[in-house]
Amino acid sequence: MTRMARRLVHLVDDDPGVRTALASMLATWDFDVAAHESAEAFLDALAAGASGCVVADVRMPGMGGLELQRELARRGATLPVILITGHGDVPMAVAAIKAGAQDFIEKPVDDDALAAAIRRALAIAEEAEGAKAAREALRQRHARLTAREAQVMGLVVAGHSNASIAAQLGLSQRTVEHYRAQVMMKMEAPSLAALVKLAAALGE
Amino acid sequence: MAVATSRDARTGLPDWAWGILVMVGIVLLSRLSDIASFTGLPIKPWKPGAGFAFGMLLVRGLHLLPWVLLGQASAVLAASLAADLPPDWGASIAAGFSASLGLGIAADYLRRRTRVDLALSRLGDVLRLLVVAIALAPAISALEVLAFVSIGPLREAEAQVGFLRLCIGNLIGMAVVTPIVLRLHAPGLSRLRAVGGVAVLEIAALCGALLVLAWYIFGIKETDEFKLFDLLFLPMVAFAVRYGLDGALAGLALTQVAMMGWLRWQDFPAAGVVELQTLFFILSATCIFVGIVVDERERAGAALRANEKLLREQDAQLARVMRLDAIGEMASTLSHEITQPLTAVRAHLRAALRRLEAGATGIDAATTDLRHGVTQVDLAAGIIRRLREFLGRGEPHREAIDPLALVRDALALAAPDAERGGVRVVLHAPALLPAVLADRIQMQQVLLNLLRNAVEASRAGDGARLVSVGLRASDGEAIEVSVHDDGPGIAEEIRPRLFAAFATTRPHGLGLGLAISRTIVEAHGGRIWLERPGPDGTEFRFTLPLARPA
Repeated sequence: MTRMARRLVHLVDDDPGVRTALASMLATWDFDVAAHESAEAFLDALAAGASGCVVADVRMPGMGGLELQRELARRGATLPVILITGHGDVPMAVAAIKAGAQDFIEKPVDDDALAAAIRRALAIAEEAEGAKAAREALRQRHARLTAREAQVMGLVVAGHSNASIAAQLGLSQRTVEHYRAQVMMKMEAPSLAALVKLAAALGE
Repeated sequence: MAVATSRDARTGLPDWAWGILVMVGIVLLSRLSDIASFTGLPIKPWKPGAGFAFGMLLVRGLHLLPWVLLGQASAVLAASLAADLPPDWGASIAAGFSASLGLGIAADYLRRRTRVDLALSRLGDVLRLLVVAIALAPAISALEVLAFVSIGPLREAEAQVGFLRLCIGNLIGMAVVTPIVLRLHAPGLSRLRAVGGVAVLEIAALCGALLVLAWYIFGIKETDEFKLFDLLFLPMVAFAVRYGLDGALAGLALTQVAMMGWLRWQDFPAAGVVELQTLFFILSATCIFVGIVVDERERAGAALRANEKLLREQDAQLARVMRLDAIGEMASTLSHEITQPLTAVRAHLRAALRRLEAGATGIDAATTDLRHGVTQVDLAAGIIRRLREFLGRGEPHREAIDPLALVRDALALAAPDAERGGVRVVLHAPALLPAVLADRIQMQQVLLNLLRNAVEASRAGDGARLVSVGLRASDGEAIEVSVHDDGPGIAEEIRPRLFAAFATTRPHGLGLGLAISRTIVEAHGGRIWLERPGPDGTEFRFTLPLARPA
């Protein structure tokens, strides 16, 4: 995770005047701005695993901000979306938040409010990315277990004693103890409680 | 029966009085129409009494039947008395019974079985009446002749001639007198329509022509009645064409009386009278049909004209609604169009500010931001200029207009709104005001806007819900219009921005009404202001320059 990527803002607005102005303004807040002239163009340019957040106008020809939000959710992209609306009425806000929008800002845009919203969105995105990375690392550790070790781990986490596991698997108690030690080492779990937590995280 | 009860309420006559009227009417008509009759018997080719009785049975009901019987019997007695003969009670009762039986059955059939409109408003109604008359006349006549022959006063050898005379007499009675009774009884229908000064002269001329012709045809022995009879069609058709069914009936009655008068004076032979009456039936049927067709065409024309008027009004209404809709739509578009450059300008200004605050390194970038900002401001100005052009639609069409008519039109348009809200709108204005120079449509927009605001404010308040509109001449150069409501007034914080665009207190208001009104009034060379802001109500006033200043 570079510092650059953490401050990346995808700006989507069809009005070139507004797009240029918002990009210039966001630059003074030390955000990295990628401007797009339409939701469709943004989606085309969107790479898998893209980071940052999206700032989009609600009212655009073709796909509007609300539809863009829905399309991103459909594609499983975790980018938080901030909507900019010229008609900031209650129904519009409710619809935007229900569709999963992170925030919405009324025109003419107050840059303090927009910057704060972007920072919140980026923090959430970062958190989500961090959690995703941690889960991935854990999965890799689990993948290193042999079939027997994985079997033993499952039974240990379910609360069985070594003697019970040995009886169930038709192994000697010593062999079970060996597998158990291997599991603790490969999963990097300092205690039984830690192992149980890891198993729960894996199951999510 | 509904007709009968409503009639009773109007005339206040009890049933027995109607009965006596019918009886006396039958006897009188029978005596007056005594021509070409058999000695001492009412067997004659002119029987208006039967038509009168039939008409009364139709409009007042069958309970008059005993009185018809009495009337017919009395007519027979009266005929023998007039001929100095002893009264034949048997013949009287038999003749009265047979005649009233036939008339009663026919009236009952017409009233119940056919959906005949007794006001004879359609061709079908007259057709039904005439068909029943044609079927009924021989039946009644046969019954009466049978009665006279069997009781005695009529010899068998005379039966056929008697039947023929009675038949044509009854037929004409029912074709002319019955429709007259029905039309006189018809509610709400104008008799001979509204007769104006010119029409009186015309009717007098037509009647004169008829009488002269009748005298020429029937009154002068040397002229042949049969050869000249057709001449009667001329004035009679004129009656029917000019005055419809009622005119035709009146003309027929006049002709019949004149013809019979001259024939009687001449001692015209009875057989000739029968033949002339046959011709007269043809004349009657023709004129009645022409009259009713004229009536129907006139009614259809009137309905069409009313329809066209309604359509024109609806068109005008629709155009106004669409214009108001267009303003709402435009306001929505406008708010988006203006917000865009405004957003850009704010962002550029903030960016420039932050860059300059950050130090000298940002000056170039800040300059670019400011330059972009200026471009965006110009863009916004262009949008506003286009709006002005749209609202102004170039040069408005100014003309001299009566300010009172202008205000009345606007009041009519606002009336449905006011009625829905239970708000009363009153107008105070002198009867005569000098004309103003204005674009009618634009001024309607201003007035309608002020009126709608006033109605809405009155509804919102707890006053008497009264909106008063005033019109007065102001200093000889302008007309001043005031619109006052008894609503809750206008909050102090809104007053300074009252005429600015998008200043609204209403949840669904666009805040454009007063702004557009001011634009329009000022473009006309007038001014608009808030005279009284409440809390005892709000009053807006505006002036319009006179077309010809004093």
